[in-house]
Amino acid sequence: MSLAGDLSAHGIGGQQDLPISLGLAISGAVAALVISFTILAVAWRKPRYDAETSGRPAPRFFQRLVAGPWLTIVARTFGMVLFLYTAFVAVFGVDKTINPIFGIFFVWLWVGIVPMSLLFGSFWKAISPVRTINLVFARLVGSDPDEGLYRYPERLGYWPAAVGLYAFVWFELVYPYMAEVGPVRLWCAVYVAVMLLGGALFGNRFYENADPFEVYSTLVGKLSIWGERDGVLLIRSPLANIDTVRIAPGLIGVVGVLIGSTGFDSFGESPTWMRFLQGTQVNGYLLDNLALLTFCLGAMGIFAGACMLTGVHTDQRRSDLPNAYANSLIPIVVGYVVAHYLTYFVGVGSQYLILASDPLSNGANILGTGNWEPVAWLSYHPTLLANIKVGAVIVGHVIGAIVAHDRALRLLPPRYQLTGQLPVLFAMVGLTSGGLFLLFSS
Amino acid sequence: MPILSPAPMPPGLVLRGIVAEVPASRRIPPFLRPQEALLSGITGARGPRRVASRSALVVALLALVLSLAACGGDDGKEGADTETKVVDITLKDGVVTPDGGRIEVGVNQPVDLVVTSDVAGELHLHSSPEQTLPFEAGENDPIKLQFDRPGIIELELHEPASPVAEFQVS
Repeated sequence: MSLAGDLSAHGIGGQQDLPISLGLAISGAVAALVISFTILAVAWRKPRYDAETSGRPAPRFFQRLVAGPWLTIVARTFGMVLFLYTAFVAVFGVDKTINPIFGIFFVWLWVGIVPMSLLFGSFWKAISPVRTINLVFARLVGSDPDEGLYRYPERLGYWPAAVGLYAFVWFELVYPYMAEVGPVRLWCAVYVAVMLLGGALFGNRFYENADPFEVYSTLVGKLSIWGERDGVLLIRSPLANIDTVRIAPGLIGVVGVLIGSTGFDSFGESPTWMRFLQGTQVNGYLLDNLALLTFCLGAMGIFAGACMLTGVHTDQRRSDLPNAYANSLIPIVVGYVVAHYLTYFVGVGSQYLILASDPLSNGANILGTGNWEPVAWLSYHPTLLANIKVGAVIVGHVIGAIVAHDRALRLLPPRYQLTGQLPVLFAMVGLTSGGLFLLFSS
Repeated sequence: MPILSPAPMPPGLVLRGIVAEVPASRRIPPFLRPQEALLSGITGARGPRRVASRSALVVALLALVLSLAACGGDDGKEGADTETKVVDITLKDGVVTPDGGRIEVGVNQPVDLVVTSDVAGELHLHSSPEQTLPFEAGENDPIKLQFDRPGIIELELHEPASPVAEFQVS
């Protein structure tokens, strides 16, 4: 089974999911609203989550596994093997969408990073080939991989990662030639070059702030059960774990790009937008660019504005609030991603596991997966699928609202704790209903 | 004055334990109980009970919401349509009709694409796996299609690149 011809005009992946029903969309939105205000009304009134005390030490087996060298070696080897395989097919593979690089880049990496990080915490950090190469360089010249020539400028924070993530989503969703090997190869080469240069200049600190995949993975990994304090591996509830996200400038930018781009991906495929693009005289590429930017800035702006609409302590700056609340959007990002990419990940992801067995598209079967069938089970159960999607969006919303509630109690002066939460809740309900509307009108 | 004063509350309210007997008065959300809401929960003796009632409230609301969500699903059409759906496609002077509108078809319903064109060309069907459907100049024999997998399947003209239709298979 293979993709017929070179369907480069369309990108990768075949048929899409059915839109969710109106009833499901409405009940989802109502659920979001009801749950939000239930949380507001009945939840705790003192901050519950404290990074200093939350969680308990993981069982000794896991402690030893993480402390020992083997897990690190296995993870780094896995990352490097995948990296070298990708480089190989990028250079020697055919220029058609049956080249496995498309699956590795757009499906396994971009979508797979979410489930892997939910399961294992900061997954990309563990396998990151750029970290491994930086480590090898540092060993060779006898320096410390954590240290670079300069200190990473703190006020840059996560902004470089936000820019990198935008560069990825722009490439995937707007750039017309994303389904040709040359541009993918160029994108990856620039990514690796920038990461190695940054690692040399600023050490590993650079990757924590500027590697788009590592930042994405680390943030989503905060919804896993794995935490760490003073070198001890912890098991923590995801709710307590998400509270330990490192706050730095640009966090709102990162989550804004993630939410906005997923929304745009739904929107860009909708019949309404397609028809509009066809009917207008304005260049469609320009309009797609504007729409993606509007979605990302819009998500950032709505949330940042809502966070700042509150009374504050006299010595508190309102402009610090969006980044301080931004971790509450991570569950919403994950909910969106599940709703939007579940069938794509399972279906197209498994399709490329088959294609990966034939790296040069000459009939080889090096992994023995060449005779498998892509997994399409979910598509045959559209009602279940629709319920999973709406469920994921709602669960993401619930967790987000709880996290924002706890944050408000920590951040705001007592007399503004209620009124200060309201705009944030409204923004969240808006984002969730918007996401459901896009699922409905796709 | 905020509606909810930050009264000291024991931690651990949500989703912890379900209490069968909840006094009716306690089912009212605190923000609807003007005086009591502000004062209760301060004394330790009332604390745990409120915790229980709140948990019950949360559970009840979640149950309501989940049941709402569960009702929302549509079950699609049972039993496939057997009537053949004929889609006439015309390509003339580089302009194709239809131009990308949605066409609803049933699972396994036969679909005939009847292409009339002034040049030879091909259509791309974005099913899984994707298919290429060539056609000749003039009037063509119907291209017979059938979709067994629910979803949205786009049909595009290759040259000039333009959408023709979207099959909504359900």
